[in-house]
Amino acid sequence: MIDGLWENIFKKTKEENNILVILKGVPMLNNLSNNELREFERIVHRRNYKANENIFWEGEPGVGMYIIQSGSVKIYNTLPDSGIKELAILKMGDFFGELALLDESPRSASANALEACQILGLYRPDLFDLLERRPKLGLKVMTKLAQIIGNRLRITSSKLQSIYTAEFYRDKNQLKIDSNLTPLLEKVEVKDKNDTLDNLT
Amino acid sequence: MQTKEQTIIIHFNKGFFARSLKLLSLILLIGGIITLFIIIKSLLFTFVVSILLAFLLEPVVLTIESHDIKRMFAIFIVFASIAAIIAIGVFFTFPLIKPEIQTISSHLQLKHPSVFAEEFATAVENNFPLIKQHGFSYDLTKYIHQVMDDLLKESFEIVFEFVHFVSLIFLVPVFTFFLLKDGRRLKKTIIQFVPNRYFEMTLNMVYKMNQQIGSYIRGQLLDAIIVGILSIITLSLLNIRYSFLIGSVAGCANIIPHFGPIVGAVPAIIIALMETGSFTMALIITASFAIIQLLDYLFISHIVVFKHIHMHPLMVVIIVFIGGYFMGVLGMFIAVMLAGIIKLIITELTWSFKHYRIFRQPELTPVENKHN
Repeated sequence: MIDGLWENIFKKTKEENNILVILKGVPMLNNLSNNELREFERIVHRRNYKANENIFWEGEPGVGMYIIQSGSVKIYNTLPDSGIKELAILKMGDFFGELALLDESPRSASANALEACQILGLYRPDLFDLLERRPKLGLKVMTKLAQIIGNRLRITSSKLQSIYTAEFYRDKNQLKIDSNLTPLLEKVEVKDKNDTLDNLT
Repeated sequence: MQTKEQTIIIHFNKGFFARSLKLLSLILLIGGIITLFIIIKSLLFTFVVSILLAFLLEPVVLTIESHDIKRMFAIFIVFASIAAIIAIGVFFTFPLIKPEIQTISSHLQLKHPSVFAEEFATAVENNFPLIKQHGFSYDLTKYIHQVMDDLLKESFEIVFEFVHFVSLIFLVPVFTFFLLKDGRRLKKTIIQFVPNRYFEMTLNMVYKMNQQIGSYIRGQLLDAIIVGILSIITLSLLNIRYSFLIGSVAGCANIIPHFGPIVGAVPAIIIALMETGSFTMALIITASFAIIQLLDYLFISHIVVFKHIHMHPLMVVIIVFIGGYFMGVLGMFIAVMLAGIIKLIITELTWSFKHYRIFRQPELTPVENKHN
């Protein structure tokens, strides 16, 4: 009991450095100076989740983004027949739910802690507040966020384009017509992690 | 299998105790704070006034802070400017108000109640001889005697109010300063204790409430100030005595929905009637107050970002009475503001009830533990 207590006290300073390192690893924040990152460190919430605890649920209004400090998180969809479709497993340093930094639209997937997790929460209200307080810093971050999302949109639309062309040629060759795009979408292979994140938030 | 089940039960019990202990200590803490505030009513009052002020000043501090100035300095700048404005205001307006205060205090010269009552009775008898015959004057003297005695008793309470007021003047800036400086950190610390399940919802709700309450308070206070200034200008143009005081009262009264504008106009009309005795003057004043209200409705409430909250007139009466009972005249205004804030909170809560699943049937998580 006492050991644990002391351990926690000494852990603290290490942990704070750790937060800066982890924040630096997030693409949205990687062009910030250490001083600017400290502002984010101040508004980030440190949350602990038990194994099998949900971080957020599909369909709920999104409030912010999460960065995994330790542990792993499963992102999944609940299917109509109450089954589960796993979308991704995320590890330390990964982030998810970043679209909620922009507006309150419902989450498109649920997130569940696979083991005991330490997660940093960066929430929209705190971010907006920071934007008001430090507009220059805010401009940097928001531009970066817009670039990331723009990139994703480009990737998504090029994927969609390739699906359409594939279908067009199939039509031409008098093959079986499949108007429903979803089974095709599932066949598109996930190449890297950034691609998986398209499906998230 | 047996041992596994046993450990799970022990674990559950430990968690349960820890949770109930946490809940109990939280309830005790909140209860303690509330009792403390009820015991020290003036502290509550000071605190409420400071919160209102902090909300009013927050955007100003924010604007200064956004120019890369440290928050601490931003707050200092705001406080220094307010002090300067008050000093300049007193310096320039005191010569204007001074005659008002002097005339009021000369009119309110303390006479012994019985002397005053007799004077009043003779004045009435002289003017209306009919009353004398019916022996009303004796009853009247007795009644006025009683009233004046009560007034004397109350004047001691006024002295206490004064002490209270002075403490308010010193404490409010201190409270406001720390609320502005540490408000964010305080909020973060408090919100940290919210369990994961409710965390996102709570954070979102607190943020929205903060915004709405801020806009409501700022809107109300700014609106009151603008209406007050317009009333003062109008009354001084019409050459009404005590224009500054009556205008200020009208501005403050504007906070109270439905009745405020009427209550604000009444003193002006009464003074005008007493001064000039002509009903045309009363009509002019009524008309000008109506025009100010129209301007307020058409323009000011659009310029000032306003969170309008509808309150039923009956509700307003009840709230004003409750506020007056607990905290005097200032309490009436604060009660109305608090009622508006409570209504906003309830609206936000119902929104959350609708949109977050926590309050609906809890569904099974993907790998639901069968042991629990």
